[in-house]
Amino acid sequence: MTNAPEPNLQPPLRLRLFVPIGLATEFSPLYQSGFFVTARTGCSVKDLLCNQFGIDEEYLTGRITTIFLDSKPVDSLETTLIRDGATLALSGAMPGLVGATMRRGSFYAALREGISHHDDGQSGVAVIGAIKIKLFNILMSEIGPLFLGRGITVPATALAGFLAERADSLLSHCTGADLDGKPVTMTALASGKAFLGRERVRLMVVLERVKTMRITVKLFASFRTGRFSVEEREYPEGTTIGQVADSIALPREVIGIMMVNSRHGKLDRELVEGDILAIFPLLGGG
Amino acid sequence: MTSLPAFLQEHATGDLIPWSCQVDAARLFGLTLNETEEAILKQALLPSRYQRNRQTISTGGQLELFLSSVAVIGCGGLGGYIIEELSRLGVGRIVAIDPDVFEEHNLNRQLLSTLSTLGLPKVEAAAERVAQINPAVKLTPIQKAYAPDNGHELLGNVTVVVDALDSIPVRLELAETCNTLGIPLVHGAIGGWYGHVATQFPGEQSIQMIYATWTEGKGVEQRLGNPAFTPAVVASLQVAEVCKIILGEGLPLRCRQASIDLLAMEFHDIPIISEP
Repeated sequence: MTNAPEPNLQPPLRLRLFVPIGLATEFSPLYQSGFFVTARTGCSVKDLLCNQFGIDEEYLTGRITTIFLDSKPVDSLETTLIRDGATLALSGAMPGLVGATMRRGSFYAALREGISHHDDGQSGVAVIGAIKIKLFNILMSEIGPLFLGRGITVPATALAGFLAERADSLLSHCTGADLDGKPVTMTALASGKAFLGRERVRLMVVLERVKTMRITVKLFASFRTGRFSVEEREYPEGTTIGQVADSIALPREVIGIMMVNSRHGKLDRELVEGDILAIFPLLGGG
Repeated sequence: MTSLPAFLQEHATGDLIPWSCQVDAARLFGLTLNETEEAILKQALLPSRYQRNRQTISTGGQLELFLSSVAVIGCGGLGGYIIEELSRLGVGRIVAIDPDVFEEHNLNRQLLSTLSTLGLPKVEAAAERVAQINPAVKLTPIQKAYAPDNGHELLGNVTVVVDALDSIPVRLELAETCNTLGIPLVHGAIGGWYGHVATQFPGEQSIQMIYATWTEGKGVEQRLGNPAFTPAVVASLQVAEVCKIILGEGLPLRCRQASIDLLAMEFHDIPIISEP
């Protein structure tokens, strides 16, 4: 297999991102396409997942019911060994007969004997290596954050593309970021400039429990078209009128009067719990 | 020969003076129709055309309106209706300012545009229309664009200014000129199903506050256009404001904006007061 990253000519760029916990699901595409983690190889699947990654043994047996090692279904957690450069795909129960067949220790395991993973007797060498992990279905939200917090390594171009697509949905809500220990702007991350000339990025995500507030948003005149007249909406504390406007795609150049609790406000005005925000469009025709 | 007051008294029906009598009086006494109407009102008589006004506007109020001068800046969608209503209301002098001529795309909403006025300056069409409604009203057509450098000359002796422009930066300049000259300003703007009206008295900053976020370009009217009914609604509200300012009655939209949504049929009253 050729999953292992290129030889380390260049250490990965270290990106730390502070993300509101509610946005952890934004990372799903990275889980599905796979990411690299550094681990001690030559150990069993169970040793890797429980002792090194810290996954609860009961969780492993109860929830991670389907495991593929280098695209082959795994039946024995204790005897299947992980070598450097391996790809490990983890999934919860999958539906249907195929799902049942691929499940670990399945009644139907005999049906897939030809593709089942058998140890080749050469995997037991203990070295610090790179393993590619893929997560599917329920495991993405349940154990994805565990890997994000530990740090995952991805190709720089893939991460740049991922972040560029999520400038609004993810980056605009992040509370901070640093690259190799130095602060970096969300704009530099969204544009991909931050990753220029680098091959790999080690991404560490700090999930933050952000306090939210309820804001009543009232829209008037043409701003209602395709949106709403009044809606109670949830935003992170400290959200400004401008950010609320952006969140519902109001074009800033035609925003007119903005009022918070019947008093005029500007785009940079920070809102607080229970505020009633009213936004009118600019009208100038005669 | 009898005097004008005696002539009027003699030909009055009750206290009403019919139009034919007003015309005869002007001819007999060598006066303009405008001067004759002023004399009638000063004698506490009422030109018959205003008899349906009188439960709303007293003869004294009618005289105040007649002695007033209202400048209408912009004679398009809003301006056409405003001029029509001011002349029927009995405002004695109207200054109509607009540099443009009527074009085909004005026909959907601009009252003074007709097939026969296409290509004609809008202010000329306004003068013709007012002459047909009430020749006693003096309309001064000025085929120029309002600008801060001609503002003092154009608005010098005006009682109230009506903003019927279609450009936000020019509206802001007009609001400033009105403040400098100490003239109340009735502002109206439209776009699609929507409009708003506000009245700025000297020293207030209502228009500046309404357009505080403006940086360049037009508002949503750029994308929404203007249908037939929105200018008629907003223009009528503006004329009601002019009427109240001149008569000193009622509650004008002072430090507040009436926001009109004809699609939802909602009318909102928004305070326009700067944050302390």
